[in-house]
Amino acid sequence: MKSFVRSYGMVIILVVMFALLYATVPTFRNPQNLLNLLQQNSVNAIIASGVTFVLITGGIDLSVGSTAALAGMAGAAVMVRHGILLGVLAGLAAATAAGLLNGLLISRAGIVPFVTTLGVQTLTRGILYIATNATPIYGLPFEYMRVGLGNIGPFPIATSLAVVIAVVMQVLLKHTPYGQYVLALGGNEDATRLSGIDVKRTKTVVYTVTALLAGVGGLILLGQTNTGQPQAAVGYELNAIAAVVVGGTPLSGGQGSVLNTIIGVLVLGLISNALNLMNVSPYWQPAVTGLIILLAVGLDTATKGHR
Amino acid sequence: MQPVLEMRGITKRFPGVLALDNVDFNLMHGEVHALVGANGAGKSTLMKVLAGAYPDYEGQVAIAGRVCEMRTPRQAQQSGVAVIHQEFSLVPTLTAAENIMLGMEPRRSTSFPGNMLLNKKALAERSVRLLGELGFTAVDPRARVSDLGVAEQQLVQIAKAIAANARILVMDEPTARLSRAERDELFKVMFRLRDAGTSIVYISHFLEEVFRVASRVTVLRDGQVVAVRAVDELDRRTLVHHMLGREITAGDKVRLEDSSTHGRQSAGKGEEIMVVRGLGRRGKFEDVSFSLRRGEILGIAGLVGSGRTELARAIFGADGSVKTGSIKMKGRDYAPSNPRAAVASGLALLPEDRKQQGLVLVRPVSDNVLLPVTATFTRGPFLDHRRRKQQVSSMTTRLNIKSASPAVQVGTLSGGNQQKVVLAKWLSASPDILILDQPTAGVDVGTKEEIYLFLRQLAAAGRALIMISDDPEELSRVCDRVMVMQRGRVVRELDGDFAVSDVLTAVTGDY
Ligand SMILES: Nc1ncnc2c1ncn2[C@@H]1O[C@H](COP(=O)(O)OP(=O)(O)OP(=O)(O)O)[C@@H](O)[C@H]1O
Ligand SMILES: [Mg+2]
Repeated sequence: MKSFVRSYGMVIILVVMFALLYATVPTFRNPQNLLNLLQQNSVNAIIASGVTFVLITGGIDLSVGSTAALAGMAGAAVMVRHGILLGVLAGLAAATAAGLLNGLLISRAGIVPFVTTLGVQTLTRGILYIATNATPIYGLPFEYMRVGLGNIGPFPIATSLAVVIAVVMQVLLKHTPYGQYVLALGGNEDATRLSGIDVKRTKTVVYTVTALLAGVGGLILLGQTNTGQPQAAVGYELNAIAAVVVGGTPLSGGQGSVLNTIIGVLVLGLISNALNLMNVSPYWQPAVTGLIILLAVGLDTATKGHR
Repeated sequence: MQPVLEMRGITKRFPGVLALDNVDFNLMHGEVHALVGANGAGKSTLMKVLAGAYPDYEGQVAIAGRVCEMRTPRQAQQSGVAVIHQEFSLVPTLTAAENIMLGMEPRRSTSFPGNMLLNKKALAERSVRLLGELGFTAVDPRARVSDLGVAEQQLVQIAKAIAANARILVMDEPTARLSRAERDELFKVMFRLRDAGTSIVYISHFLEEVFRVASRVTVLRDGQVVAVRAVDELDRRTLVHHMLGREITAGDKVRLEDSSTHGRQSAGKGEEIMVVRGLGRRGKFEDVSFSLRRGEILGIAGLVGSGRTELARAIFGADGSVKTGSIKMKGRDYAPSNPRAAVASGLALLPEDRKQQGLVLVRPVSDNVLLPVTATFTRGPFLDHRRRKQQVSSMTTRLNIKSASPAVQVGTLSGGNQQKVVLAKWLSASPDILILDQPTAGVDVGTKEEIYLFLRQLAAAGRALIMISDDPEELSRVCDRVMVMQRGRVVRELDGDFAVSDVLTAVTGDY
């Protein structure tokens, strides 16, 4: 029974919440609202998929928000002159570089992830402000809005991207040697190293891929506003970590799943959507989110038995 | 006479496992009572119930006739129980002295504010005195526990439990990682405590120890008590039979069925696969030279601190490149700077510390067994789950690994079964050269025989093995040659027909 609750607890909560809202709030049922819900949570889903890997290694990444902004700014700057394709590539390249920096500092220089990614976050924001004088970049090609707000069939492009990315990341984690190494090194780095596995490279790749996904998120955000904002995606790192934790991936490392993270994203997204629809003051949002995080972790600890 | 401890009808369940099934156990005043059984029989679980580790046990515990609740470690301590756990429970960042006195730190004075302040001097003095009394001079009380080897950690663990001055002292495999000399010191201490009225529960897989130290034995099998006897009424064969439910033949040199072509005889026949010349690492070992042929098992004997583990780690590149001396492997220069390079050259090391270095405790049994060979059990870029499953099930059957399923976390297995998983892991990899550092620590007598056979088969298949062990019997039975180390140097080599006693005298001899 306990193990059932532990495995499916969040799914049950998600389903129950969804059913309750569906039955009681008419505006919730509106298909447009449901699509909005998906659309609004896509960026967090993409970023949190990467952050799941980071937390599984026992690390943390505080720089995904700033990396998203970096990708958006680099993308915007190149796009206004050289078009969409080069813009997107520039954004992704900039994000990847930031992730590589994280990865190398953590695995080669041995600086702890918290400090490294805090440093990189602050550095990135600083550079963005200096380079732009804190002014937004306007004048992006109008078609680029589609990336942020357009649909494929009935589904938002952003959501489709999020689904593909989550599936790929889940397969990577559970069905490839690389995923096994990530899980193993998060559980015991020394034992993994002594098994002949290149833990440094594995870790570097984790931070690089996470940054790349943050870059994808940043480019979607760019498409939503069609303006390059140096202060975009502030606080996104905490949204992502919250989703991972609510999904049930422990911060202690060695365990976790991207699917759980997606459930975490949806639970948090559903709550903010519901509060919106029920006209609850937005000031309530953070408090409720905080409560959910504590409840989720509490549930997890309680079902793991004593201690 | 009334028992000091009476446990009645103790039952304890884990998900998918009935670890203890209505177990009765009693302990007399001033008695050493051995608790034996195969890996996973429930010995540690029974003692953890006594230590207050499992609030949800069923049954009754009475101390000196009074029923006590043992729902928290605190309650157990207050009832006078101290436990030397099989798995270490030390704080790695504290010093040996601080660990020994943890929770009993001397204060500056007995009244406020002095009672808020630590008396560091007294703390150091007391732990030094205790270690001295126990004869555990190998332990530096000021060293951080994380810098100590497993044998020294074991001694700290023992000292810590003894410092608690308990009425009932539980020792869960205290000698699994000790060499003979330390073992003898420990027995002296045990006898002294016993004579002073302490009652001792003693768990061990070394049956000769049971006969030496205990007056009574309780045998557990699959969570049930199958026998309670006075030691005088028993011999080794009957005891093994009680434990395993079957006979085993042990004692002779381990040979394969087809002994005319394999086993001892093949020694020296295979090609030379590794030549080590003048290898040294400052402060650890120096001027070590030996050669290793395919088809042979080279044993390394020695006391704790003789540099055996460091030598093994150096050959495996676990602590970076070695500056002094040279290694040739298959005729080519070999200087691994990390384990990955070593594995790529066909080496493997089974480390002595299974919890810190051997296993990823939160991962399933299956993933641990397959960790070094993850990349070979694939189809295209993906894991081949079917072949992985087959490999795991063949290894778990072969080594008799007892777990609810291969999907449970390794950390939930009994100590001996965890050790078997470490073995399974490296036996799956089947490298050219396999270095084993205390491979059978905590493994029961039945499975040990199976492991010895497995090792001989690997050798017969053309692999070369190096086996570090503290058990002279094991070395003399399994190895073709034994190299003896003292204080970082090779002092002797035994070859040809040598016996247990030869290994014993060689280890402690003066050179
Ligand atoms: N925390 C746990 N969760 C799940 N199962 C457990 C846990 N602890 C022990 N078990 C199971 O209970 C059984 C008894 O384990 P126990 O550790 O008592 O064996 P043991 O007799 O001490 O063996 P060993 O000689 O290997 O130390 C085993 O099957 C083990 O897998
Ligand atoms: Mg045990």
